[in-house]
Amino acid sequence: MKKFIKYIVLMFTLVSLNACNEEEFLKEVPLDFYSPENSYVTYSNYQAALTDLYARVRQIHAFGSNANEDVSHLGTDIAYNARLDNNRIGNYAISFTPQSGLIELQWDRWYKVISNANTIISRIGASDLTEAQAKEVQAEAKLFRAWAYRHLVYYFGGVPILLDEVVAPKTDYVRATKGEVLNQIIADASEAADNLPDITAVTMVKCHHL
Amino acid sequence: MECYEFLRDHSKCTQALILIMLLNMVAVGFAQAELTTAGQSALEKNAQNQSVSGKVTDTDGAALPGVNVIEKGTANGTITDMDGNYSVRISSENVILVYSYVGYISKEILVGTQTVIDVSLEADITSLSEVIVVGYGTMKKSDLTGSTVSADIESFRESPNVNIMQSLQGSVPGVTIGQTNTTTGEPSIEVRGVSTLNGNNDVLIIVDGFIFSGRFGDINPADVKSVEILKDASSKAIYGAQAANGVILVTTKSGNYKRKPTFTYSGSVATSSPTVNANLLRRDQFLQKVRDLEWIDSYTVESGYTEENPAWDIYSSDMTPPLVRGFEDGSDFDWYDQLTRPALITSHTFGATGGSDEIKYYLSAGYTDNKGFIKGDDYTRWTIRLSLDAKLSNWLTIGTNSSYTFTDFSGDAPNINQIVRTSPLVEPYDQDGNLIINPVGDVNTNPLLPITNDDLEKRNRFVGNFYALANIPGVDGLTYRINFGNNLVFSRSFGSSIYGGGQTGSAFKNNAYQFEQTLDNIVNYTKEFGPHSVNATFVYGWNTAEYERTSSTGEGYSDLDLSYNNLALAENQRIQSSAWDESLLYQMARVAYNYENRYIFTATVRRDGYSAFSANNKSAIFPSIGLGWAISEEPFMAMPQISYLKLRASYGENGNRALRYSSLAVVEAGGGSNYVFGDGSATSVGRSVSSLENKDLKWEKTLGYNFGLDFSLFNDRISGNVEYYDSRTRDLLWTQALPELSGFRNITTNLGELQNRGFEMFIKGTPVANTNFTWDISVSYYKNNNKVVSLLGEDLDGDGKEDDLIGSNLFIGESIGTIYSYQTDGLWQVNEERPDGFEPGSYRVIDQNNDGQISPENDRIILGRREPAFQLGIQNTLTYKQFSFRFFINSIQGGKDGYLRENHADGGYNTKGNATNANWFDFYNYWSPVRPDAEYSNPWVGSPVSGSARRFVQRNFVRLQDISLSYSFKDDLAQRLGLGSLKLFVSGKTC
Repeated sequence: MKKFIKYIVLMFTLVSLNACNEEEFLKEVPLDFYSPENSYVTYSNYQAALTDLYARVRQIHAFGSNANEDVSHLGTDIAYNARLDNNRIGNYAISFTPQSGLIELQWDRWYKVISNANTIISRIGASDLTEAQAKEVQAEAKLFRAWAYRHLVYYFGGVPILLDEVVAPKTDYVRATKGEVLNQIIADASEAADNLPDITAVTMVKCHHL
Repeated sequence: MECYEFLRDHSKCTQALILIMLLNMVAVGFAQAELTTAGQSALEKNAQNQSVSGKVTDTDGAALPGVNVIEKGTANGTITDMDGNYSVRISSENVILVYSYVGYISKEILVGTQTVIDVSLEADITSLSEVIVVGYGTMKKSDLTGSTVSADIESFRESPNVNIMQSLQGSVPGVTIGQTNTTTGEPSIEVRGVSTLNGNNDVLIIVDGFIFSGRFGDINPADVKSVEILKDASSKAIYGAQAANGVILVTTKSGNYKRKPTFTYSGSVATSSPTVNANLLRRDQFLQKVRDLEWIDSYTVESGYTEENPAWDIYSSDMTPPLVRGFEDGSDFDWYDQLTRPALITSHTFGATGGSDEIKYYLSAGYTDNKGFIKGDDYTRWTIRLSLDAKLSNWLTIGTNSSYTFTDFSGDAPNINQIVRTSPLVEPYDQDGNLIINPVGDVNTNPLLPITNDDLEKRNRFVGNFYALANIPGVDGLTYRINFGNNLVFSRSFGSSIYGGGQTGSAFKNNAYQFEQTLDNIVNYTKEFGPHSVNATFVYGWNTAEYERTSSTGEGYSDLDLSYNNLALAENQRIQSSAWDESLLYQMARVAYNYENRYIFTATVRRDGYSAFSANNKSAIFPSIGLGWAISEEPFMAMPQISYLKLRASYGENGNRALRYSSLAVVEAGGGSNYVFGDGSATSVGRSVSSLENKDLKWEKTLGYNFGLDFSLFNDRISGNVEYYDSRTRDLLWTQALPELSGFRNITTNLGELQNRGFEMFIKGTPVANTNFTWDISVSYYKNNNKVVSLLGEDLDGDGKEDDLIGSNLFIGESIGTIYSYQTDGLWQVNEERPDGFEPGSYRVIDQNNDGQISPENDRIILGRREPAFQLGIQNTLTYKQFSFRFFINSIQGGKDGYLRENHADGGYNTKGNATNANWFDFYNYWSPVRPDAEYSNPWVGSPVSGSARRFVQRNFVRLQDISLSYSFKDDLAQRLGLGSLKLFVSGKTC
């Protein structure tokens, strides 16, 4: 019996030698991508986030790689595409449907600009920014938000107004009226106009983080 | 004693002798059971110890090597040599010797005054005495309470299978193996239905007890001894969080103790070609197609577009100038022939196996070369495998099971889509013999371009698995085993193309490295107390994996003479790298108890902690329980016809491995978020949140029960099993579609419930069993019903039933592969009254609610599903003297509305220009007014639903999948050639 116990003890010692601290061992830390915890803290983080807004707006206005995405001119009295398929704005019956990819692009892309702007605005409070920096960053983000709503309201009419960062899933959005959206645009744009430097004062602003 | 015979036959015994003596010196103090050594045998004759010797044979008189001859109740014993002889020293006359061997009925003999005992053992014909590999050990098949099956790979040894999974196609009920299109593809594996929507779909692969996170293609099929599949929840539960999709246990060959070295060679050459020969359009058919596509102008209005319009000529069509030139100079090029060749598979495997008293080994080297049907689709594989076990003393065994696999996928193959598309009116080479970049004159490049690329794709996999097994002395039946596994892969993917980078030349080098390590502590206690027998296992272990990859690309080269070996010569250089790591920590306990082999009980508990589980749910517990009742062993059930009858019931829980980093929020940097501000500074790098976090994300949990009946009738003439199972998977990892206006396309959450319920049947029988002729047949039948039981749990439309999620194609009460689409009924003809927007030649969509409009909400219905109704496999083996003929029939049927798939030409022909200039197969029967009964819509006509209306067709098939004829030379004939055995075979396979 003694031998038995001796061996059991020996075995468990061996086993516990290669036992691990579970919490440390199983901690998941991403190696090659950023997480929000380390991305909205310093001024240079916020500059990076604002750069993203510029990039997105440019992508929409430059119509990606495809002139068919120019919904602000195609299908109007300026021009229309003579092909009849649903990837080109020529025949409204075929192309202006809820399944149309071209219409969906506009909706998705402008709302992503709004969402990213909201993330910036919501996180300013907990960041390391000084008051002056916070005001400036918030104003710039709100300008983009206003620009996005300006397009959405003229394409779709009254649309849901989102002003906060999305952290949990939500599916019950409600359309606001056109008037409410226009008022929101005016509020955001006015704040931007008040707090951003004049066009003549814009110099190497974006290089601060270098 | 037997060493004298060794000495007579080989000189190797001297070496073995020295080794034994060395080992005995190392194992000081622990040697209890001794093995006969020549040095001592001279002394023993006069000692008090008695010695018994003899020969063990089977009932036909053939020698049985490797039979255990043990003094009952002790560890004293020996094993018979290759001639069946043994000699054992016993302590007294009253000793009982137990003769046991796998597959044979054990015999016990009281020694008494005998000094020579010859024994003949009877084969244990019930297949249920066979030992089957289960997780962390083995179990007798008769002790199983769950659904574990051993695949019949022997029947497919002669098929030209490059991948061991091909031997399981259609022959194992419950397991569905998919097809591959290229030589480098891995077949898909599905066990008892799909139990996840978005989670990991992979089965867990265990090779020789070690987790193997690699491709089956890296294992040489000739090295595989057996493949077991754990199907039901209770047998999978020992692998906890990784087991939900099924567990496949592969056991490779190992050596045998006390065996002369045996050298084996097996080789095969196979060729393959498509069974349905697809033909592309040639010149005349192509020109006719161009005319038909322009039917509005090229046919006369008066005839209803059925008579050709003489005023129309080919120059009015949308053909590009190169095609027009090809029309004028009579070109008719066969592109398909240029890029295809007869496929060839060559395979060679050399093996050496054997063992001494203490060491057994299996060494094999294999080479496989698979040249695919498409030029450039090549695959070469070299494997070396060593399995070594060494008994250091009578209580300590160490060993290794290591392999090295080198695979070479080099060589760019052109995409079959490009081959199909290019018109016969153009040729690939110009007059000077150079490749024309855009032969058709549009954006499509020459399909032959990739063949000129320099492409290197090689992968080296090193697997080093080591173990030590200790029989704890003093405690009978207690063992401790430590497993240490390493799996290292180096992947290199290098290439250069003079046509890349927009014709400026491109070259790249990608290097990836993946390393996995496992450590298992396994404690096992096996003991029989009279009618009770207990087997308890406890496991504590961890598994870690890390991966990193570096990628460098250069574009803009003046020349590519140095190919990818000097990337610095490129004008534009891009670098990239990525990395991930993960870890798993687990504990497992299992108890298996049986009473007189009649009442069986198994219970397991496994606890898994996994780094990819979210912060609030890092670990999970997976229990299971199983019961078995061997009815045939009951005294009241003694019927001569029934050799064995067992009822099984089990219940268990498994989890599905979460996807790495899926619970964390991700911020993406660079790429589309970069911006240049035009103030002279460098590009500004942007960041954007691309996915939301979910701290409460749980793993998917599957609970299932399984009922099974094993039977064996008429002395094992007919045997088989029947299973019924029902599994529910809850907390499905699901990317719930979010409204895009939130800025996120989706979020990973746990939702809903899936059910997989099915029935499996496997019957094996021998209808004819004569001396010279036998016929074995086995039938496997499998049916699975997949159903979405619940999703979000909402009922927003207030109809009393839970809402479907149409946007994600998920319907309550229907399977995952449900097809929800417009119902088509032929095609619109020219003169028919059509709804607004539908052109002639588009699919006629049935207006389900008769409101005169075709809309997605009202006119889409459930047409059927992708999953099949049932699968049936029939394996036949006919043996006549030395000949053996096998054939296997595989069938998958869809029933009323199952096994559907879209049947639609989706080559991007949706404009008149694209359709005119593209080529396609001659079976593409598209609509035009001269072909009003065609099956497919006109390629370019529009309709409001042209992106979504489709034809769906059933894919049912019955096919003769494997067939082989082999001739085994008689042993004496083979021996005259100096061989132990020789078999020649010829086989065929359709897949």
